[in-house]
Amino acid sequence: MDRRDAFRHNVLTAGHRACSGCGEAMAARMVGDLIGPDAIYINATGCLQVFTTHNQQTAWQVPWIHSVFANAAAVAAGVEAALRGRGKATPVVVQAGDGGTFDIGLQCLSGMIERGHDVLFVCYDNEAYMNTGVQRSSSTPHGVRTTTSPPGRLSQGKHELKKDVISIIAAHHLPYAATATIAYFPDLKAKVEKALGIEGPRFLHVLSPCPLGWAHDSALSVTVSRLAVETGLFPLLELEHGELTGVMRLAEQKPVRDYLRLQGRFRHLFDSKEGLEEIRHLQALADTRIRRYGLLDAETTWDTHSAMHGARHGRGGYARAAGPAAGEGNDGS
Amino acid sequence: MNSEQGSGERHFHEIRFHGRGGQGVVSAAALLALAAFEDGYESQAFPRFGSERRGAPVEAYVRISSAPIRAHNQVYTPDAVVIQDAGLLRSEPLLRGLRSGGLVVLNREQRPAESEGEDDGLRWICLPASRIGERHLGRPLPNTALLGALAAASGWVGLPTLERVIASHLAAKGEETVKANIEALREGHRWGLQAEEAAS
Amino acid sequence: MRRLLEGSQAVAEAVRLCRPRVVAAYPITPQTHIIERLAQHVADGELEAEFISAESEFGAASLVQGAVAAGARSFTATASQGLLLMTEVLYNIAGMRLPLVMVCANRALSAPINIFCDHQDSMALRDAGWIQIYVESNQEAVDSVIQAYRLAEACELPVMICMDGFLLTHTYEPVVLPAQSAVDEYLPAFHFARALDPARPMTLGGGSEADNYQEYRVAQQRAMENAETVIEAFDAEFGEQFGRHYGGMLQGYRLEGAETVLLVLGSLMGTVRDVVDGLRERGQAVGALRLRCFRPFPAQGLVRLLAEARRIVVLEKAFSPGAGGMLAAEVRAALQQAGSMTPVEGVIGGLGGRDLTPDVIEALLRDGTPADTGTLRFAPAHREQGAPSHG
Repeated sequence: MDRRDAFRHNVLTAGHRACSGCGEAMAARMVGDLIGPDAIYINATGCLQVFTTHNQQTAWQVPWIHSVFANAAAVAAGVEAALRGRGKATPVVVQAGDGGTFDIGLQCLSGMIERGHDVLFVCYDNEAYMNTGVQRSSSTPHGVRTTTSPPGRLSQGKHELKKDVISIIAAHHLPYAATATIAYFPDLKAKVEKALGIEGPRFLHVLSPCPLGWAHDSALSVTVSRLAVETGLFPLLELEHGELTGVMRLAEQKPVRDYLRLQGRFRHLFDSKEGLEEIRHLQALADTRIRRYGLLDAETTWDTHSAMHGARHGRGGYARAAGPAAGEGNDGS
Repeated sequence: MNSEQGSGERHFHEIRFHGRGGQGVVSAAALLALAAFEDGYESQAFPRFGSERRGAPVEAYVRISSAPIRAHNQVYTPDAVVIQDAGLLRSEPLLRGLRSGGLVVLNREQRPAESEGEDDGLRWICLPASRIGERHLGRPLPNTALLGALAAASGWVGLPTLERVIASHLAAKGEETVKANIEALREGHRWGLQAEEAAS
Repeated sequence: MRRLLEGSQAVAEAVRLCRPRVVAAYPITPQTHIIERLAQHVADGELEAEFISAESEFGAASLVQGAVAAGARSFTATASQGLLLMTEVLYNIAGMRLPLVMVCANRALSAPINIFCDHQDSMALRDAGWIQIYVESNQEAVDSVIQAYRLAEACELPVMICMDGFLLTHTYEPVVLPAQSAVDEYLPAFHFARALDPARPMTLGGGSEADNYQEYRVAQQRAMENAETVIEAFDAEFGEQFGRHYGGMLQGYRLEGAETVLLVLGSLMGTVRDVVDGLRERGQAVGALRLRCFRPFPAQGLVRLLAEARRIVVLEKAFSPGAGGMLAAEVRAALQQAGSMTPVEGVIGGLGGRDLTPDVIEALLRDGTPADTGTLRFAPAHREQGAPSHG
């Protein structure tokens, strides 16, 4: 098997132990195949690391290292430093979940960026500590049920807002930071390819639905990811040196209820007066984000309709012809 | 291990559950242990698995005894094996250590062809537990039906006790869910009784 | 009332009964069910406390350090990698003599990553200045958490309750939960004399130099020595009030006339009791001794209880690569110090959750000879666990 034959070689191969419908597995497959096998991958502790390297087995067909939870960005920085001056530019890629990015991993990530390491950091964000049983992270949106932010007599779920990590990262004025998700593959592809062409620290934040922790049907991962974007809750952005340079326009704004209704992690909000108030807050949050980033008026060639139907030719087998074939129910993998 | 200790009748049973994450294997073991405890026995239940993962193989162990249980070892010589996912039979040695005359409670309408005809000295109780779960619970959760069958075939725990334990252990999930689980339990129990009758 | 509870659940109830005002934690298998239960209690108003989801274990330890320093009874729990990540702060807490209680759900250390039980994690912290108590059962976990708060606050030493991950945390077994009123009677309210308070400003964690640093450590040592009597007394009092006690620092099993004694920590003692009974029935003079308390190290008690033994075997779930078992080394040292010539055999086993079954333990007791005491021995795998792949 020629590993440079992208049509036949997967960076992340079959046989791993992800749950069915895992958004992170889809995202990692997509990103990995876009980057290709000529790269070194550093993985933080989390779902991706666990389900791909269970008990003496591995699903990785690339050089791959897992150290501990907090330090993936620092280990990657070390790898990158070792490769400097060796002539060949092997991409150094970090894969981390929201825990390894927003919380326990934030210190090392900030250090790596601040020192300007030539590392691509990819965060697969499933909005909680899923691997250990769905405990809240700072990435968990407010109002969400997790085992450490449970609804109860005195609580409607997570009290705090989802940490605005892209702004924190962008404030480092790094060359490139972007958000993406599995429902918009051409957009994700464009961003990965753009990132690969830039030197220095780069950051990709990929929203990755989790059927188990978000409590949605495992067939709906792509649908849920699409709604996160279409409601304005998860804007698709590009920031370069701290400035907003790209935005995916919403062809239409969907109400947050359409998104919440599909997921058991929000179900309790529909059961009480306080809960319904939280839903109003979430809608207000979405509206604020839309206004902040100009998601309804941005002048751009990409919007949430064209991005699904747009053809994009290049590496990998995901090119899709324009037309109604793309869209609902396709999971892109 | 413990079964030769002491004088007189000693009630001691070890049960091993096999299944996949998401099938309620750990719950089943807990419910069995709770029911045995309710019936006045000492009991113990614990799982063996990796991290949270739907679909990954899971094992759980139960011990029921008339004397206090002190050890926390895995179960190597079970008196019964409950198999929540028949597909695992092909890839894993699920029946390892099962005592002669032991029970196999299998989530499958019939005993698999490969094992049919073998005089293995085991008692096979087969039932379509996922279908039973689907009918009562709306999803193919086989665990309570299998528990009912185990209770009927073994006589180690009473049906009324299992019903009480389900009612309290699953109370947070609501009355409907509790009722549905009890229905599944009862149907599994009927299958277990039928299988016992057919065997005798 | 006796109930069948999962260990984590039982421990969470015990913590709740102790009325902590601050609970801060970061999830790590196999501790998660403890903190999830506490989160639900707080969310339901059943525990009046601040429940803080920390950004990491380093954060969690720091949070509870601040909380105790400000005079609030606090709680955290962790395991394995989390415990190691807290290390700097844990030494700091002990050096400051802050009364904190933590549960460590014993788990193996990376690399390679393994979520199952052994004692490498808490053993790695044995020098941090924390009292370490290893429990055998979920009942003992409950009772020891309650004792721990009283102990910590009386001695101004932090206490780590070590509880076997999965083997205890995830096991349903019978437990009696004490009544709130009984716990309130046993455990007085927390009043910290050195709490951070504008009314009585104090500096905690200041500098030190060669002319006084050693004296701080000596004071810690004295506090640990003094804690020995307190541990014994509080366990005995607990026994009087609640009807259950655990022998203070050491718990023996059928030591009378035992020629061979097996020493262990934690839940392994349960299996060992069964093995001892089996061997005794076959006429062998075997006994067992569990160190409930590893720090302070119960040297005197050990020497006394092992006085009649002709052969001592230590079976432990951790070791120092390049050296050997820590427990065996300390037992040997204590006996030698007391002039005992009884050989101590050290065996390492149960690493990464490998099951130490009765047959393996019996074989160890049967097959060792005094000549083996110099060699580092690893327990063989039970025939099923030796196989690779599916765990």
